[in-house]
Amino acid sequence: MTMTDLPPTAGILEGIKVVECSTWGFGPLCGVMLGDLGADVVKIESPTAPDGARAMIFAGGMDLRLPDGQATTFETMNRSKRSVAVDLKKARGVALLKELAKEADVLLENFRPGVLDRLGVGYEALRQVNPRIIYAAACGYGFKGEEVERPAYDPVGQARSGLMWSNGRPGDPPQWNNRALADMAGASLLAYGVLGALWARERQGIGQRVEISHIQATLWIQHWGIGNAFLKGMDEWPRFDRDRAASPIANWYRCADDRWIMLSITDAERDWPKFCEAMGLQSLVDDERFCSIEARAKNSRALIALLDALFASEPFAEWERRLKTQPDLIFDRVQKVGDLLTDPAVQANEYVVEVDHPRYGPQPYLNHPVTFTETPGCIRGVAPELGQHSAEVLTQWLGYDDEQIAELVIEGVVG
Amino acid sequence: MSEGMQPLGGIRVIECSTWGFGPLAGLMLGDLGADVIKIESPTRPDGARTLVWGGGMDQRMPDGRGVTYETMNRNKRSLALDLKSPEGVRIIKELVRGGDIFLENYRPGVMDRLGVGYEALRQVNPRIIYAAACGYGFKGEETERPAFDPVGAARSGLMWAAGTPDDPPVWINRALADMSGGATLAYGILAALAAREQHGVGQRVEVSHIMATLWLQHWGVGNALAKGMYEWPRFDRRKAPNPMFNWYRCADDEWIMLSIADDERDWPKFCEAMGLQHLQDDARFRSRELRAQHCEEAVRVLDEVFATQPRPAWERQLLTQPDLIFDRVQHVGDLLEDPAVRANAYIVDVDHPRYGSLPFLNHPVTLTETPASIRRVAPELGEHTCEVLQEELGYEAEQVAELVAAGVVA
Repeated sequence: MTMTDLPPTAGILEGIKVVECSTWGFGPLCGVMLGDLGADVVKIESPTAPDGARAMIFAGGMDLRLPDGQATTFETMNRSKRSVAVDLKKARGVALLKELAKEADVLLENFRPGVLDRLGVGYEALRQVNPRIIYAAACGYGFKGEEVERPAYDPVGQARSGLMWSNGRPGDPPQWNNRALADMAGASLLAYGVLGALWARERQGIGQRVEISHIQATLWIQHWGIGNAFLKGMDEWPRFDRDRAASPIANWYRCADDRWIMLSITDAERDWPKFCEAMGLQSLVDDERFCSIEARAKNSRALIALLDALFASEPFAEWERRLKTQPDLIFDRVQKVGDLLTDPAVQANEYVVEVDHPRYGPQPYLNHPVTFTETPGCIRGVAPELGQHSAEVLTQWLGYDDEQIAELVIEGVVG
Repeated sequence: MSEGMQPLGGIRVIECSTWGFGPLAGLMLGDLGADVIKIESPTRPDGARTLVWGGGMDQRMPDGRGVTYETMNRNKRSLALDLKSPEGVRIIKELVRGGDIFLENYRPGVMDRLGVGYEALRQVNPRIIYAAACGYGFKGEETERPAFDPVGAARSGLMWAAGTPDDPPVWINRALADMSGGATLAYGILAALAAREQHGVGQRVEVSHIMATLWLQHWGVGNALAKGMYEWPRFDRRKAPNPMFNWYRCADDEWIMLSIADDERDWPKFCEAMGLQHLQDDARFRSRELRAQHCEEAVRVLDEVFATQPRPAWERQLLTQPDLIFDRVQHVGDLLEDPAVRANAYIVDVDHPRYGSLPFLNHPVTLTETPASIRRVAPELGEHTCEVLQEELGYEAEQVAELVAAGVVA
């Protein structure tokens, strides 16, 4: 890990102003991505009822509290932003949001559809004050249909999109994946959509609404399985059954040290002899039960049983050494989160970087997911305290002086 | 299939990529209106065209073609070209000269050895955006190792996040590493286009299986890193500390997912909707702490309750309290009739010249003024070779015929 420099150099989106009215993961991670690229992301929260992620104690069956009681989800989903606390239940607060949106390039929100409209700061209202604004909105069910206004969290996306039936082994009940994949995929795709809309604005001079939902995003990350099932007219793209894998060299095995190895040898015809050679299974190369793709599919249980026994006879490191003698063979170790910090590829590529947190000291953070060689994204600051930048932003964006800001604070409009 | 205003109209992408990771990125740019020219070898095209087994599934369409090629290559034109010939390299460079994006997912170093790596192409076009995907990142000792989706799933921790707590590691049969990789790379390409516009620079844009799959797990992985935990374990439904953030089997064997995170506010509403008013003040369950303390008991009670009625009955009851977040756990086959999927056109029918009308997943983001669109299905190998060479590079029919005769294009 290397320590990132804060504050960093100019980014791709320098000069782009984003007003984020969003909570939990879906909207906030999108804001992180734009902030990593250099946009000035101002997160608006209520002074009295801020983003619930700040105070969330349990989620995914886990205790989310950091040693000082603050919630980790807020930390992971809100770097590279500034915080302005505004009470949108007060008319003056709504007016203030409108003033900020007038200066902004992007408004990002994941309230329940209709909430900002009712406050008078929905898309139709904001485009009146700023026709070039890109209004990026996330919800659970899409913005059309009878379920538009239903509230949703990540599990709605996983449940409704078919992901829960693909997560697990055949015979398992459905299983929610404890990584919030619907929220995370949704955020990345919304960031992609915002960039697409910024490009369209540059070329065609227009602002627009950009919309995404949990269902839509979670379908997209399953495009391979779901798209294939549709084209083949199948009702399900079933869970993978490792005990009957049609290609036993695209499967995973437990080694003697209880570590697992994942084989991903897809060019099976070319690589079967190389695999046998590396594994010391030369006798099997021409074995009629296993010598072709069709034969291995037909006799897969026998071959899997044989490989189960073989892999269980040596530790992972030995199999790795042998398989590496054939550089075309695709395989890897099955890691846990804790293995990442010492993973040489993660280290060499700085996929995890250390950031000095004012409250917790040096902390490992996931880096921006894309490497740009000329204009890199980077972590521009840890998650802000509530209202940490209220005065600063009101001055920089709107030219408010200290007296005006003090009045807003006294009225409880700004915190 | 509609035209309309295309956000990436006028942008040209030259795609040298195979399987899922690179092709999905190309597809997304194509959906947004870019002209994506997919380059494949005339004799060894994208292996997805002929894949027989993948994910334990027979990949063949009724006519024997690989289904993965169809799902990953809509909105592209196909140019069959031998990159190992000097003429092939010359044609690539001509395309890059007038192009915006070069997209590849070969093993790192392969394009360099063929003479069409980033250093060679930026000589031809300094503004080119060179988007590259690989398994292990472009630094470190493993850079040149080959990789498929399962490498990302295995190495990033996703396999230990998949499945129930008692399962061995599980690979999710959806190619999540490839798909999130393709989507993340498309995002990176759009950002690089913005950077080119603003700073006037072309550059390399890089994504790996490992990084994309980590990003997809940011909530769990980021939280575990922040808390100094070795693992962010799989969710155990039998011990869910909040029984209203859990899933249950109904009498008709269908499952319902509850996602009631605001449990203090919503416990009375939940009890009311479910007809469980007697539990609201039950000494075991009446507060968040008590429910967590008696979690196994609470899950058992709700298991029994949900098993007494079919799912539609529970849906009706829960909908009487509009703040309660829940949904049915669907299979792929349920999607075609899903009212939200239909109302939002998340799946659209496309008329395929060989297979007739088929359902396709629509673009994942809705741009209201400049919508994405599906304008063509995956191309035949070399379907647009003549068209591209003649219309885009100004070749005469005779020159094309010579290249065909020489085996350079097909």
